[in-house]
Amino acid sequence: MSILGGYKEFRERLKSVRLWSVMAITLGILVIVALWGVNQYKGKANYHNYLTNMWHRAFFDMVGYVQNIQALLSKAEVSGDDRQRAVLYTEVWRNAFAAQENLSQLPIENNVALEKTAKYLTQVGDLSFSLSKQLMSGKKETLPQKQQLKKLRAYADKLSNNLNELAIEISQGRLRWGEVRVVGTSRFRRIAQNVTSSRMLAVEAGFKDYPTLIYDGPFSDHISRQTPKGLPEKLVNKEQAKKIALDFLNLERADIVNYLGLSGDRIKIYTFEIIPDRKIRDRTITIAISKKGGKIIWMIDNRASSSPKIGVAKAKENAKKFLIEKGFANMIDTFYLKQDNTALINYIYQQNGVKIYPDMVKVRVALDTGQIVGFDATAYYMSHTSRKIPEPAISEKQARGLISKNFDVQSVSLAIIPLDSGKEVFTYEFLGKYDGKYFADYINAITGKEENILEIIKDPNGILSM
Amino acid sequence: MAKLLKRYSLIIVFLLISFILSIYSAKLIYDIKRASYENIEKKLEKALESTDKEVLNEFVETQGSTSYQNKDLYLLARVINGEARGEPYIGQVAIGAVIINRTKHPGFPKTISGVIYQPGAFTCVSDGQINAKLEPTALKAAREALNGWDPTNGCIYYYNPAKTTNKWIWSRKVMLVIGKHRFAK
Repeated sequence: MSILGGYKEFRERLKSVRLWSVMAITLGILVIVALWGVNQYKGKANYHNYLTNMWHRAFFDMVGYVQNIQALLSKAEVSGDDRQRAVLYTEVWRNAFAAQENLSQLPIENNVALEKTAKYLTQVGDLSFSLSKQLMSGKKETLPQKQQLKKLRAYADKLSNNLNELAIEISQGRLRWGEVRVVGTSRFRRIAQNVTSSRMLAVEAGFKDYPTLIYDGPFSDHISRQTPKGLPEKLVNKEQAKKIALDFLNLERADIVNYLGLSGDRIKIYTFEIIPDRKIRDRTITIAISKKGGKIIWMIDNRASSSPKIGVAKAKENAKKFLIEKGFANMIDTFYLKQDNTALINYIYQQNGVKIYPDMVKVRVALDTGQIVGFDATAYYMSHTSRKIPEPAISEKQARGLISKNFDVQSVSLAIIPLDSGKEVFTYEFLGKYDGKYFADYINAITGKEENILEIIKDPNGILSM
Repeated sequence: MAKLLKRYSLIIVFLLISFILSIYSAKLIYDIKRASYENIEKKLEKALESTDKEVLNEFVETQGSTSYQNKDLYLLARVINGEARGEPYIGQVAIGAVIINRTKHPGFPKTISGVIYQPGAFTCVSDGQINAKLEPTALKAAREALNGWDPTNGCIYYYNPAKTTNKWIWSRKVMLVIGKHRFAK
């Protein structure tokens, strides 16, 4: 009896032990999960704070820079001293680019929607920089330039006021940055969290009737409005363009020709995708034909080249033959680059021994078969025209006197080069060495001003400029 | 109840062990990742220090030719890879060209890294696809775009109509369609 009783008791005890242990384990799991959760939450909060701090820094920095722009521009309006104004303009330029950089870091859903504000900041800086250069070369601002600046200053006032209001609300904690995530946020939360975004977009709306700015800088509005100088007047339609494309590629027919669309602002371009042989599906040629003039603007053949069988000299020979066949006369090769088993060679136009750098055509030659697999004549058609090249006003000797004494000149020629503003200048090109590195120094052949310096990089894979 | 617990006690213990193990392994992976990040910082420090020294030591011989590599090439290739893997080659070049077109446009940052890391500008940057395994065609496409080929002829926006939730982008005028992407001004 006692044994049986003992066994029963033992079983009872065992049961309770098991119960306790199970409870303990469950509790243990709960505690671990809770700890893990708290840890995760802390980590997330840390990251969130870190990001918010970065955004706040970017925002408050930006507000500061915009205020500086406004103050500097008003000072420039008042100042009568040329040198003082030149300094003020460079300061505007520095502040504007810093402001733009910070603006682009803000976590606004559709940051790209702030395009107009960003454009304003870029152009204020760019215009100021070109004015400061103008002042340094001894030319005062013209009346239209002054009016333009006044208008831009008015925008700076408005922008600075709006941003200040926002800054106050943010520092009082009334506005919060939304999270920059594309997936996972429900629509509702998105609206609630992006108060700041919508307020920033309201600031953007102030730029609705922003004027078109034309000045001497790379971001001036005239750059995107340039018209091609090298294209014939005659317009072609889509069907004609398709035929021109097939002729250019020397194809009788192609298995598949897809029309991709009409695009481009400076040159209107039809783009086609051509698969010459259905069996070799990987190989597609994409080709672009201008609506005006029906010229091939660019071409990409995606055929992968295998290991090189020909050298760069042979590639240049092929490319030159190709250019002559396609009607590009008087082209000379300049820089080249070997990559992906192809050679990319830049050709420029030469008129009476003068190098015309703006009229550039790029040709890519496959180094296995020597075939042309890439072609780009955008620059050529944008700028090519029959130019009247003047006689240089200063002699080569005078120009040589204007460059640094330490520069070891190896060759000199006349060249027309493009500037950032899209203008062209007539120069002496001095190629040479300084401290073991190669440079090209360009001296204006009329005024003697140094227009540009390029570093030429020569390595086993090519020659290119920087 | 007791019977049930008896039957599952082993499983519970296993669960517990595996849970703890998984937390540890997660932490381990995290630490490894952190370690590699620290590496970047250390390398940067070293690079800066050594330039400091070289600048201080005035008699350093400058090298005749330095092999030139575009710092933006891999970054651009990574974005192309993240955004347009599986797209036709020309579509990949087009993505690269859009990024380069933005750097030349007044309304965008002026550098390739500035454009790419603009918050919310590219999906693949926000969701980490930018770190996906780099395919060789993306690198080739990035080179093509850096060399100046622009299949979009000046577009600064693009979207995949099947994937985008962004209504604002639809208001942009579509210029051409390459693969799954629409390119817009």
